[in-house]
Amino acid sequence: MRLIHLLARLLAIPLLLMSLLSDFLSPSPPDAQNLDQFYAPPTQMRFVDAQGKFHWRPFIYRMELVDSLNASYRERSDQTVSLALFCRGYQYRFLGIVPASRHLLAAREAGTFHPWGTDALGRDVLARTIQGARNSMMILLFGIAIYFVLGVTVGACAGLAGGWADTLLMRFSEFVLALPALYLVLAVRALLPADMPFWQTVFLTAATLASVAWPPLARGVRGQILQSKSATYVEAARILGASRWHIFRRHMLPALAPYALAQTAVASPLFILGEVILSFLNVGFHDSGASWGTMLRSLTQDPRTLTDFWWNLSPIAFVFATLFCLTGFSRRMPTKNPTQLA
Amino acid sequence: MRILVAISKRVLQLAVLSLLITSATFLLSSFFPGDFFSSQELDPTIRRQTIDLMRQRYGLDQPILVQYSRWLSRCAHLDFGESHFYQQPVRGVVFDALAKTLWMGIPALAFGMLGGVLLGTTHALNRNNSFGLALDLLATVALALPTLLLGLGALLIAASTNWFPLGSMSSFNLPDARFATWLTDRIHHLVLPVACLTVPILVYVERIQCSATQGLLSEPYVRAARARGLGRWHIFFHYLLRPSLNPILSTAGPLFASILSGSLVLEVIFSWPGLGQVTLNALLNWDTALVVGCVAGSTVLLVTGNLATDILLLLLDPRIRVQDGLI
Repeated sequence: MRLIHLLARLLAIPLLLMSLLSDFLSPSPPDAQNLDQFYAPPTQMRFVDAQGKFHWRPFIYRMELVDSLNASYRERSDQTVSLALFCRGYQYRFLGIVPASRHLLAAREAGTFHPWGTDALGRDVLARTIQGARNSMMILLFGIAIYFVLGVTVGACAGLAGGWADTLLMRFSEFVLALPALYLVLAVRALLPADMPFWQTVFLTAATLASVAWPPLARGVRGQILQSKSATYVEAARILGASRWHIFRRHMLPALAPYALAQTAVASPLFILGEVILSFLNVGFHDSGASWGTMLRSLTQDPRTLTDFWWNLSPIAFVFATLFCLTGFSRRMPTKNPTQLA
Repeated sequence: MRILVAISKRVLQLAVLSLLITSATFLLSSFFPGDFFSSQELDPTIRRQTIDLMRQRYGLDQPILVQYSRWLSRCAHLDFGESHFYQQPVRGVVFDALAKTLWMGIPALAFGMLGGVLLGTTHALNRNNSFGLALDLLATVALALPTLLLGLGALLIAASTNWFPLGSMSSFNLPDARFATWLTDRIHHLVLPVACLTVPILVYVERIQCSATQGLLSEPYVRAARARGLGRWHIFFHYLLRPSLNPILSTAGPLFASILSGSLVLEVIFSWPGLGQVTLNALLNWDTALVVGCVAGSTVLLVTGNLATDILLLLLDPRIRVQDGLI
């Protein structure tokens, strides 16, 4: 079991690399459509040509659409396109800042090399999967941050203030817990315009997910605060004349940090899954900004993608890998459940 | 008698909660950019005056507070308004959809609970051998398999083997209308969605049941029973099962909630016309009355689940009656 958890945590490295490098790894832009190459199968990388001659530099054959009804393709063995490492390709910004145009492995000619095939609009599946990874990580990052701040703030306010504020906040958290979460997220999301700029989508989706997920963290933090309120070290600090803020920042916050971090790790898969489900239901990322959810939606729209064009299934593996990775992190954290203390 | 008081107290809480949630949804949805007739404004064949008349007829031209008070007074008569999209009373649409969701949800909950309790207990009794390890591994993997992925996997199976239909509730060209044919057809359509909905419940219940039973195994009364030479199954049924059911039953309420959100995704995947699909359509069509109705329906279902759990716990575990000061 330890091995499994280690494996799960190691998965974070490729996933993080993938989302950080994103455009550098993808051979073609994720939103470039090519309707002559719809449902093109994965392009095969070759070293040996038709004459049986070995080449050190890998190459591919150009794909030609034979039957547009069944989307069957034929390799033109007379038309080769060579591949190159660190090849010049489309323009992008490395890490979102540095302008660059080099790609890890790409064809000399744009729009010919699709290592994982293409989707219904002829967009590169590998590029879209990679961009989906990046978008999911963004949501995870923002979501976790909002979740953490919101939960700790509400929990700390309730625990420190006590009295009617405590009762009110805890009743409210119970109210949110009792809501059908996904329906609430949908309702909140439906209030927002359907077409938003990328960063707005990221931020609002993350905020929406956090706005229904915070109650367990807030309740747990409140329990921890109540516990440390009566702890001797807090009492000592108070007798020494420390201010409330000082006690909270220097004595209570460090004490509850391990719990809050562990609870955040436990909640983290929610954000990945939430984004995927929202995009799947057509209320998350727009189709042009690829996300695993929008890619999965196309599977239900055309059953042929499930059987004949199987390369479109790749997001399934990635969603699973990400969730598996995150459970690996949450299982290693202290599992004592402090919500029962409250 | 005191149990009755406790139950009625919780029923009252249910009513207040439902009112709060529906009101919140109604007021939230008033911030919608537009209403049901907004999309018809784009249609050149419909005259502006017609749309204005329609808005007047449904009271959509009134300020939100007037709309809200009207809606509230109608709710008191159990009339939740009319869905513009379906052109039917919301109550009927929501009940229909809810029933269809429960076709999927109740078998899944039953199988999940039953299987989870059995597997969890077996797991706890076989903690240190290869069987327990295998279950551990399976549970870890299954934890990362949400209904969305399971549903797509099931769709893949259905598409590549043709053993199961790809979606919807029933075949539309049934040879005859006999009940048995109808039922087998329905079950045929149910197999995949129910299986997908069952797995997460089963894994969850299994883990809780496993840790609960493990905790019980070290209790003195279990050891005493073992020392008296009682058989394995006897100990299982008479000493382990009933006390270990307590944590399971208290999770049944949240599990009910997970059915609602799990089935939402599965309904989209398997084009099952349940509450999730209806809600989604209502949201995308600005069908405010129906959105509120759907949220109300899901809330009532959820809270009823919690209530049923509480009552069951009261009946099953005498210790809780003591805790609540009922005895």
